[in-house]
Amino acid sequence: MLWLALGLLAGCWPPPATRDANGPAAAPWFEDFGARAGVRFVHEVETSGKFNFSESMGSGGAFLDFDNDGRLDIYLIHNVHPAAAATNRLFRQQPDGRFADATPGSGLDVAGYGNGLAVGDVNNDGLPEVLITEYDRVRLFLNRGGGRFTDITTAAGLSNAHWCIPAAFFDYDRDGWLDLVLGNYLDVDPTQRCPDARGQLDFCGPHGFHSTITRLYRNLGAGGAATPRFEDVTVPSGLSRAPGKAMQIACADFDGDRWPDIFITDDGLPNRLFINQRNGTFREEAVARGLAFTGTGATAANMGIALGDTDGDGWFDVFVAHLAEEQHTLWRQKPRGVFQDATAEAGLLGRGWHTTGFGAVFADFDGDGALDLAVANGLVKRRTGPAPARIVAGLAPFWTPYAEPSQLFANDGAGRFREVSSANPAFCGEAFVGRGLVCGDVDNDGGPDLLLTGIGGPARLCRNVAASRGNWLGVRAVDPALGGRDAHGAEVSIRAGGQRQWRLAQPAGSYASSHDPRVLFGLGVARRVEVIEVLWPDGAVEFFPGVAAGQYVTLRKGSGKTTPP
Amino acid sequence: MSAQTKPAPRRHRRIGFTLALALIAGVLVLALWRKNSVPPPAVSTAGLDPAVAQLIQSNLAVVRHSPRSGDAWGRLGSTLMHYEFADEARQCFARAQALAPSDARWPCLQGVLMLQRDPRAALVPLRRATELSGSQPDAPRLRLAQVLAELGEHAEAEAQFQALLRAAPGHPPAQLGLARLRQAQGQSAASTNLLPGCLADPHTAKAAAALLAATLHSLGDTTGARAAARRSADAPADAPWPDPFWTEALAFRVGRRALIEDASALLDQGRPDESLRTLAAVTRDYPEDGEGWYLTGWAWNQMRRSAEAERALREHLRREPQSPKGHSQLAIALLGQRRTAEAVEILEAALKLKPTWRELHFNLGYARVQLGRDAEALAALRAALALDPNHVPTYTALAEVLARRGDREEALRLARQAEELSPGDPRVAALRQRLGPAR
Repeated sequence: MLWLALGLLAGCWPPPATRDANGPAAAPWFEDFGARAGVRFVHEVETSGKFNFSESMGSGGAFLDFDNDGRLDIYLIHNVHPAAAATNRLFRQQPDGRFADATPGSGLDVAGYGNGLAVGDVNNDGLPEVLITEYDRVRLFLNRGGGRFTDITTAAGLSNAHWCIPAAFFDYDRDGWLDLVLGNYLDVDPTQRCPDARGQLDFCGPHGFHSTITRLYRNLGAGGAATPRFEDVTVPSGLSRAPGKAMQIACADFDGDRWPDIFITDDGLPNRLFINQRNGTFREEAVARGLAFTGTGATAANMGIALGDTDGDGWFDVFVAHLAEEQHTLWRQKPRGVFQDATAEAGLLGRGWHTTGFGAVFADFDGDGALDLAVANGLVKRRTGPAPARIVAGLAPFWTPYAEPSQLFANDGAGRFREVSSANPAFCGEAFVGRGLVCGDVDNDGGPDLLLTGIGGPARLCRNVAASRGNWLGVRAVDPALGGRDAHGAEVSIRAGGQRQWRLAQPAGSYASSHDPRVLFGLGVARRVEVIEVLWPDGAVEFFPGVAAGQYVTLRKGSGKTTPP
Repeated sequence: MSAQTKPAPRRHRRIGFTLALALIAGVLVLALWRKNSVPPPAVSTAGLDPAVAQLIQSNLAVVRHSPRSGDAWGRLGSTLMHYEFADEARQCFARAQALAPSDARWPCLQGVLMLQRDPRAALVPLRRATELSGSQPDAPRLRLAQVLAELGEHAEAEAQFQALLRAAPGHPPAQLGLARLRQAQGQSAASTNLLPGCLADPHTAKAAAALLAATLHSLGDTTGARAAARRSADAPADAPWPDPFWTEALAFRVGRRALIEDASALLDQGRPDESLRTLAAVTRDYPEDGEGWYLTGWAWNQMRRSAEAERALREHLRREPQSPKGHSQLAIALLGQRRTAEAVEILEAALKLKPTWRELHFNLGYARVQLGRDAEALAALRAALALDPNHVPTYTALAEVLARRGDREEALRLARQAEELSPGDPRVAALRQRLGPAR
């Protein structure tokens, strides 16, 4: 009954407060950089007027270095009819930091009902491939080098007729080839209409539609010139046993056995956590490990995911964004493999702006050694109260009632967050219908930058300009035996200034997006990292000697030591 | 005469003077009363469902007529809260509390309204409602305790849960709340010990089993944890704890959406006959609403009244010609009338609209089998299996067709898979028996 009440009251609250909930904020962390950088992209969505469910889910974005020049590029997708003129856009970063439109002739200049992106080098040739998830299919594009991609979906054995939003490349069987997990959402009836409580048409929610199964494709390992091939192992892996309504996927070692597991947020259902049994199969254990429900035992509209060690205990925690009428949830991992709702103790319950969150990112925006939090917001049901004070320029009028400002939270170093949105107008000042939120160091200056994507509005590139940013270290973990590709799933830890920090090198995350595959550490005043430890995706551990702060280092598997210094 | 009549005008004057004074006093009191009366919030009902608009207008009129009635304000708030007039509803509840300070209903509903936006602020009205309610009804105290626990105010939450247990020993939601607190405090064994009563109560059984899975896992009992997680997954949704205030507020849900939600809930609970009574109101008051006709058809199908179902579903499809679910239910209605060839046509049309629905492929396979079109049935059933590899009836149907066509090995393989999915399933066991032992 309470849920019914909460559902009825969705979207009916006053506009966001003009100050942060927990006191004054410091200097801004971001400046809007997109237009100056040449990233001109306005998301197009087929807005039928019939409030088709798929129109409201938006599209993610990707940071990727498709030409291996050491500079992050950008790929952005639309949500339109495949025959539409609006094609997805690929932006290549130039040496001067500006972006040039590299779309024409790239092979990625395609249109479709795009929702999500995953990036990974599936043939171990050192060049990342691009996978697009769409309303009625997925498409895999092979990176042939020279800025050219080819659609190899059918030849690769990939076929997914369901509505898929998140996807992730990871090596679940540790054979050195990136496998693929596809998070199917729900089996929607496109003719279903969902009037709101007042009787006016609006977008449907997940209730009443069938769940679907998350699909797992094993990479069969065709290297060299051969076309990569995948085998559908959904049934033998056990993933088919637990259907759901997948909104986002996080692949990481959730139980501490050094094998990658699969965490899936489900819309309006308990989340799923598939624990890798190390024999090609998975067992669903979200309830027992504490991640299925919030601390009150409630299911929620679980959406974007951020993973990170927010309290410095060496184990990652899990943040999941929810609807405005719910509470976002932060689960802390303690002990290893067990998660507890710590939203209240982390200070994330009494947010000044109560919003519907999608993309979510943990990153150390001010370089003080503690992970901060960014959330991209946008309603799924029309707002009935007054609109936010400022709406982003270029947002299609239809979407204005769904616009909300994004949010930033600073970590005090002890795992407690304070909202600093009002001090960050470039990121939080203008409302839009936020969905994807992508993190990466675009200018290689050690400050995590953010790329925001929203429905029917411009993508926004926010450059980190935090004035008091501390020292930093960037790490790229690669495996020379695997074509020098990024080691998706590698866990990188450092010790600096008496503090130990942990990061996961896994680009799939947030909401329907793909991050910078490298990891960044904020070091505060420490000028040197004492030691770097890498837990490689195959379970091997290596230690690398300390390095000076203020640089990117590339760690090659096999070149470290197997014992700590 | 004059001596005798003189006193009368004086008396009249006195009476007149008294009346005038009374009138002035009355006017002053009325003015003062009106001055102290607050007008109801401005609510625009333009564009709303007519039933909703009418209810809001009538409750507004009651407030205008009785502006000092806490009950009138509370009822208006209870109405507005259901139709996304949250600010206005809050004003109404605040006024209701000012006018009827001893009535626990209004602070309780005010608290419910504030919970999602600002749970900490909701504590104030919930505390007030708890104070006013005492031990009965216990719903305000339970809500307060649960919100305190969510906010991390463990000591006060515990005190409230204990108060509930003092008033009603074994109170299942209070026990569950305490068990959650213990688990959050790292006391998994203590948490586990609090759960047996909750596991047997329909208001808490599912949630308690989920918590038990977590506590057992923390205690290292992974087998027990898995069993508890399964128990939670298989259990029906927990029934809401009785809350007379909220139940009263629910009476103010009217209109098309409320009727559809109520009918859908009844259908989900397997009560199609009751849902039909609600749906009759939908098709009467909203005759052009396709959903009402669809649910009516579905309800008749549940009751195996195929002819009535067909009539309703054709009404639905007249309004929603592209509706896959309408086609699907219509095919079921036709199959129920043994009009299999027509059902096949309908299902084939439905699959063009929604090729990813397992149900459509499966029913098409079934219908083709009835028509003796086994080869085509196989294709449909294989498509159903590809979309949903968990559906045991698809395995058995596919195995039956394959066996009939002589592919016994493949039929056995599918039967084994069905057995793995649903151990002990009598339909699968019967199939295995028919197929005989593996070679």
